[in-house]
Amino acid sequence: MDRIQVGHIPSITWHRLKTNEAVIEKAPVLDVSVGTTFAELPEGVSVKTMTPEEAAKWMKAHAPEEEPEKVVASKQPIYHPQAFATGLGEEFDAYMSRSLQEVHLLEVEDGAQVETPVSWDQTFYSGNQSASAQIIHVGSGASLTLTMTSRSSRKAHGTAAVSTKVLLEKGAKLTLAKVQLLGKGYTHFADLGAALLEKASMQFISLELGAANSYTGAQAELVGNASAFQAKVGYIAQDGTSDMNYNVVQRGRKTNCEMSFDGVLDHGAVKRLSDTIDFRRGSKGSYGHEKENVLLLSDEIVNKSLPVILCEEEDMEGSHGATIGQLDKDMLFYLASRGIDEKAAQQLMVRARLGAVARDLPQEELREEVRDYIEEAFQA
Amino acid sequence: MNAVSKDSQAQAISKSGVNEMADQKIQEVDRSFYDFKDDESKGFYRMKEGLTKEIVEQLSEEKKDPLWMRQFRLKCLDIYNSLKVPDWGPSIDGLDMDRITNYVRSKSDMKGNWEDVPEEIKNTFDKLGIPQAERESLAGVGAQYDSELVYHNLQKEVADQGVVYIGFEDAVSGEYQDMVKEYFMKLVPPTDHKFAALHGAVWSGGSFVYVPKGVHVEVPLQSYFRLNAKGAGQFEHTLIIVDEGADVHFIEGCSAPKYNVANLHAGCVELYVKKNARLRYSTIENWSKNMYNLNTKRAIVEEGGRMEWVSGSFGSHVSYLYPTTILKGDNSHCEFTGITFAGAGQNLDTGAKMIHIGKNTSSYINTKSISKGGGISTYRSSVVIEKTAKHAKASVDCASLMLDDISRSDTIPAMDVRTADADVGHEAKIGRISDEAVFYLMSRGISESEARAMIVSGFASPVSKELPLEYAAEMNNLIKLEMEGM
Amino acid sequence: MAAPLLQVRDLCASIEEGELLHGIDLDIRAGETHVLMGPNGAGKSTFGYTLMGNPGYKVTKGSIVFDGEDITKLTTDKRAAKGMFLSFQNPLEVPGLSLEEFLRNAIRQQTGKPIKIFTFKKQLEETMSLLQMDASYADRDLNVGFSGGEKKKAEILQLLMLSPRLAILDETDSGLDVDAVRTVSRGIEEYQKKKNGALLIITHSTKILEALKVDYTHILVKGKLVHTGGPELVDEINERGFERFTGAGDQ
Repeated sequence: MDRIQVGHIPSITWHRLKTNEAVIEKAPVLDVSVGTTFAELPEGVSVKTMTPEEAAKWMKAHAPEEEPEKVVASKQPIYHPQAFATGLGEEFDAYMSRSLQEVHLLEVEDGAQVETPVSWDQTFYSGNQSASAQIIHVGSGASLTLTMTSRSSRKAHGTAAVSTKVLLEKGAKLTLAKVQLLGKGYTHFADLGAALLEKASMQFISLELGAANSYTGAQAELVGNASAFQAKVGYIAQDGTSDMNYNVVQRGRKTNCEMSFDGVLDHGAVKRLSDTIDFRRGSKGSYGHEKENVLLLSDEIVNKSLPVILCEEEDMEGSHGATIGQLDKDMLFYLASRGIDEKAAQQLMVRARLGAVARDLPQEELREEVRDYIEEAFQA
Repeated sequence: MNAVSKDSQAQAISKSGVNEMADQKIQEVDRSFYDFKDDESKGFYRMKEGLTKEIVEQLSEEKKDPLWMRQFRLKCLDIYNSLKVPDWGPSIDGLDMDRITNYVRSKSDMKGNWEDVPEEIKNTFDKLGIPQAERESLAGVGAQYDSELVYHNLQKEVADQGVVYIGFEDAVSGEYQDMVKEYFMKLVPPTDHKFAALHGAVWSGGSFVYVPKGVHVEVPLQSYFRLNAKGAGQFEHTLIIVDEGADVHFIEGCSAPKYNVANLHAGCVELYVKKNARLRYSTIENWSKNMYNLNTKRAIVEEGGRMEWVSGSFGSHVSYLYPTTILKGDNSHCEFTGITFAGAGQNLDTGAKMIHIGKNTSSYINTKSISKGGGISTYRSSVVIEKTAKHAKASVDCASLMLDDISRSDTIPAMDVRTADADVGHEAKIGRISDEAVFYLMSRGISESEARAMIVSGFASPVSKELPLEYAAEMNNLIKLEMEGM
Repeated sequence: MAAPLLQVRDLCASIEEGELLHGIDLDIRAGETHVLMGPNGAGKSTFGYTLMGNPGYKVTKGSIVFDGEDITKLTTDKRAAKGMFLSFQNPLEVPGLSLEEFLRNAIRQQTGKPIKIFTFKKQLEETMSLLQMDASYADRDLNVGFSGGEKKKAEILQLLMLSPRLAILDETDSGLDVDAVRTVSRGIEEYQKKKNGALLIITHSTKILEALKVDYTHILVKGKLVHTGGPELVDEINERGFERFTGAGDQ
């Protein structure tokens, strides 16, 4: 059993608020590797299996060279020495590498335009403490749409830990959708680290709908000029923990970042979101925007948010906005004037909020599955 | 007066004549106006540097503390030694506590008549526009010079209403000692953080204000703090109790000349706003750039009460400043309006904290920060909505402006909401002066630097219009120099 | 004569800041069209909100009877289910919920019955084409990114799809160009004729009324109904404004 810290924001604030990071007191030993079988892969896409050592070597050889951090402020920000930064951070990374038996490398050849979305589905079995890791490498000018869905039976329990590292070469395009539909007894970890070279762009969709406790994070390094990262995150927390850690580092000129977080908290849910937009010196002509919407359905919830902007560049534009609360009174009245009562309005709004995220999923079957899952979750 | 201060006086005069300067540009706060120093070699009493039990005891002796206060100081010293400096926020490594003199006073007792204040000190305050300001528009004035209050005066009409405005040390041993004992460092306990403990151990000077039930003080009260001594600390304590239905505006101004060694300001402000009372607390802080400003300010607001903060942070080398408001009573309300301007060599970490406990409580934070010339400004806040705060409303609006690419501006707002029946909104924006706006103004015949100055001034205006300009000549000067670039 | 569909008696309503309606009496029978006019700030929208039961507006005195039942204390959704409808001046945006999905939900809630998809779709298509709305709007998020005119059309679309017995239209014509007014007016006409619906049209312009049969015109000034007349009053107001009535509210 390990004690690990998840999340590593560069500028921390008052400890007594407990918004800086989350701590897993007893992270279980992960002893099951999750197998993956693909239906026929489209042309230009290949998958191979590596040992964790080979994977580390591969990353070292291919990941963009890290610039030494130049820190203006005397004490903060504190940049963590993680080799290829991820949202959950160094300790989680180390925890994974202790557990992993294999890492999958999915590659898209230079210039390959993969039209059909690729599904990388994983099924988790009750009682298992499972880990899975993959590297996604999209070659120059290539494009890929990939959905990764985690499923289990509704009543299953266990740990599902997934680490994904993404490397986008010049002009590469990736849409990555991660959908978590695990049973109510799960602890879910989903970590993402991405490096984007010149003109590369990534759309990341995350839907965290199941599991008891979920710890997710993403770090995007916008290394190349005109690279762009977009994240759309939707989550439901009905009890237990929902913990999110997002850092976007804008290094290149004219880089863009847009993040939105839409969530619903019910019963005794405890949620923490820390997200940072970090404009580094030299990121001229860049913009970074973030917005958060949280719908609160119960009086037992805890909602913590820490939306940070760090900036050492003049020529940029950044913003964040948050709206946290119940359904707006005007909205309730509008819906009521059409005969929709409060309870139904609430359900409708939950569906609408998450539906707005789900509609970006590339496969219709998956969109439907998500709709049904939400419907079921809020039936009671 | 020695030569240095005469020079700077002359400079100050010429500065005021510079208003007609043709080419406006945004400059850093011109400090020269504040940088005159008084000669400390004669007529001053300075304690040994550093912080030991002996020094605290000696200070307590000197202050003729009652026993409880002496014991409290020693307890605070223990707490101080047991606490660590924060690991977030700007570095305070440059602050060597062993080299800070915690207590300096001139050999002069507190005066109630301006004419009796020693000449050098009087000159200092005269230059800063006090008590000229008092004569014009203040109900009461207190002036603290280094560690001691040197002047205190309250208009007769205000005193007749039962308003108490006296030096804090007098309050500890005088007529109001029970009240002081009941409230002193209860809102900011010494365990709160290391510098609150330090304050508890070595505090001296400050003000005590009591506004009786239902009394509306029509014109503001003002305290002015001047830290003249080199390498010294200022630890004044301000305690204000606004009783039920009463209403008062309190202004505090701070400045110090620049030395090349660190000075420390670790004051403590405790504000009690009773049922249906209103308190406006305005601060214009312009410490010199060798100052470590580690100040703690906190207010607790009872049912239907209203707290308003107006805060301008212009000076200091390092600032940690987050006025906190505890909205304890139902229907209580707080507004915080602040501006921070960080220029070269400055690392200003400022913001506000709101804690909602009562029902129907509401709070609004509106801040502006500006970074220039390598300065670092950080907006830091927390909004906590406790489970009991049904129907609470909180909104935060913070905007930052970067004036060049060698500076830094960070925004670190935290929110913690524990009831569904709350409405919390947050908006933050960061950007620079838009080229289009500059172009637009230039197309109307305005020079580029003037256009930029106008835009910065416009950016700051929602805050600056809240500042009591007409009361402090000093603030006037600052805003002009900084925002309009005159 | 049949009992009125809507019977308002001595209705007083307040918001936190004070009373806005001071004792209003009004009867509306099935199939009638009433126009409510008045200068800015007279309380026209407040009246609409109060009839529909907006929780922000408290009835301090008087009663609202709809179809023989006292609904003064009924929640908004129940009033809607009984056949009342209010079109909003500023309809709210609901990202993530399509116009069609919203309508289906509203109909299902109001009728308590599952919807016959085929019939629904057909009716939706026809109604949208009557209102000259592009069919793609059905799939768009409710009111999100709609122009002012499109929002108003979407309100009339809901009116026709939900088929209430009484529709209160609050400034449905404000901010519309000539063509849009004509289209919206055609929609209202459809409701009048085909559904024999009762209407309370709140407006301060008269463009929208040109093609409609109006039975009564009421003038609201400072929270009081100061005058009731026939359709000719609309023209008078059009020409001379409210001057003749504005003193009356003070009496």
